[in-house]
Amino acid sequence: MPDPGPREAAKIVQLAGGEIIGSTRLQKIGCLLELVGAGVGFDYSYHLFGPYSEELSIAATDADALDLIDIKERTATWGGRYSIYRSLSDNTDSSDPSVGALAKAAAAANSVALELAVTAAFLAKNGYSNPWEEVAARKSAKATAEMMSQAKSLYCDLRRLSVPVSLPAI
Amino acid sequence: MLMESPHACVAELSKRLFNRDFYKAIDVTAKLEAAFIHLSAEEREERRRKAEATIRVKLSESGLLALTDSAPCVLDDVVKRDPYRQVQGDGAVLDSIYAVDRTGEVMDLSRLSRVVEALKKYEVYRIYYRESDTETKTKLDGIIEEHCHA
Repeated sequence: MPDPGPREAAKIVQLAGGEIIGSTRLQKIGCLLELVGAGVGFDYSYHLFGPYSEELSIAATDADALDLIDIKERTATWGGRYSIYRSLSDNTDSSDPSVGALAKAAAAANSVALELAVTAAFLAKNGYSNPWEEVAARKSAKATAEMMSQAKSLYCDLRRLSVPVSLPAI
Repeated sequence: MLMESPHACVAELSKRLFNRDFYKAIDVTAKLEAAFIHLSAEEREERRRKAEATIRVKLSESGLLALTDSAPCVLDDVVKRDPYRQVQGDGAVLDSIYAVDRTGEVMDLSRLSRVVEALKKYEVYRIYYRESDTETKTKLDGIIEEHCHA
């Protein structure tokens, strides 16, 4: 079976409702789908912002080059740069609607809360018994009390969705 | 020690490293840029991106990248070098340089310098093969050359 490529990257964007703002969100949604057994096959390892797939990063760029998605670079008012990923496919996705609901909920979530929540789930899946503590230790600048609370609340919401494989109870 | 590993892949790659018998690299980006040299910079970049994306898909579909217990037939990678990484919306601030402008405001260096702002990411797509494997080399040439004339 071929490695996942641009079509699979485009599928992640499509599952998330056709638009994902920020490369961290794209990565975390892709990883979240893998964690619930509904992924498209990219491999993730721990990187600066938590689980990250270089394959997905390249595949998304390729999907843009092949007109499967459109990537627009934007500059925020404070000067930061970010990317917007938009699906160019009109195909209605035939995946499980609950998986789409999960991806859409993740796409709509606060970027930092999503990053913390998915990182905790990823660490739990990789054998960490106290993933929230580990996240707080690894991401001390982002893991403020308020943001951790938001991340845990988001995680509870995501766990409530019916998916092929439940997210770990953490 | 690794050269005597029971794992064929580890043993062969270790022997190659020890004997400096490396895989040969094909610089796909350079080939495509040379093929599209007659185009404007913008069009050349667009054609290169499309061609590289298509080559990656075809290479994946060809099965040449399939992993087995033996050393791989073909490997590929993308090397990215960012001479300056601007502040990212996702919070990647570690690589950035902040400076104070004339009004005393602290801002990313790229907002103060057009030269820094214009710096482009350097990116190279390469495919590696075993020099002795002429059959694979012919297949790779077929996949790549098709896009050098498209």
